[in-house]
Amino acid sequence: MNKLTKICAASVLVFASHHSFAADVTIEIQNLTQGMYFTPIAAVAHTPEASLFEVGEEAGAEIQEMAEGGSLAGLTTIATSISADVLAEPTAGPLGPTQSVSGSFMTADGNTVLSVVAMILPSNDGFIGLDNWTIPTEAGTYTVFLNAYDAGTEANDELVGGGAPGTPGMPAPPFLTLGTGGSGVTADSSNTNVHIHPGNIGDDDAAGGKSDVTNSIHRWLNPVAKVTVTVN
Amino acid sequence: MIKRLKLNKMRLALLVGLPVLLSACSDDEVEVIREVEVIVEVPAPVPTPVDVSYAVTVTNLTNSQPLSPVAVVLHADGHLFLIGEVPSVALEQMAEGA
Repeated sequence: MNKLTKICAASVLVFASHHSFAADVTIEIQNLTQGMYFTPIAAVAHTPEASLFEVGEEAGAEIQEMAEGGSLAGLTTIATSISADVLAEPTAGPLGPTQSVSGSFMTADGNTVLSVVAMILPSNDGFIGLDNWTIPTEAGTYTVFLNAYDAGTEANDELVGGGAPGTPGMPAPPFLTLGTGGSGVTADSSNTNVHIHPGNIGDDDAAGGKSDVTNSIHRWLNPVAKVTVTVN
Repeated sequence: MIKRLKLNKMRLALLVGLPVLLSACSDDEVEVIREVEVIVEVPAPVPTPVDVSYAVTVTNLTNSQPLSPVAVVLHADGHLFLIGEVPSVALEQMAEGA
């Protein structure tokens, strides 16, 4: 009898290791500005088909509530619905100038791109943004610099106000030193798409002027954040 | 058993190592462990010139700063401008008067 006929089972060792897109990723985010603060940051790994925002297009309601008031509630809901890996709120408090925050997560198969958002303060609807950056499959350390975008959802009056969508003005948490009595830089929001933030104008009058932000502290130039991604 | 197939004068294109473990299930079991390494070499492809078409989208990301008509130029040599260098008259005409 042929010996081979007695073989009823075979285990085959796959010769080439199956390529997995799951990645052990560490993300560090540093505030590069002179005097701006970041609200708690959402770093999300998701599929390339999904997108939290698109530069040059209108912001969704979830981006709006993040950019105007720092809320991550809506974005967290989106992330859950698209089975994203979320490094939500890697910092409990605001991230001040020069400060860094880091965290690690294991991304699932298919979640091959990274998006990062957080509101910048003081601003009406400014946020740092990284949109669908492809996470390298090769182990190493990668650096990405982020611009500050304007969500296009609120006029940049630069006045102390509220952070809820539809409420004019900027949120004014206690750690910010802001002026009062400004007349408002502008009441117009001419560009209603996500765009490069035109920056704070500010003034040097803490009790009046056009703006409640200080022009020697609360202005910035891009880039405003450094993201260091380590693929382990 | 190791079997090698080699063809000279050709570029190495594919290397396949294929260890196969076969095990029997019955009592009078027969265990066959076979390792096959196959090296397949195929001729290097001859690149043929191809025409490539590009779709270029330019999006204005500024708050409210218009852009004049955009020039998109595909070229192999030269530069339209170099940062830190004196601009050409053509560049000056574009930058000052679109």
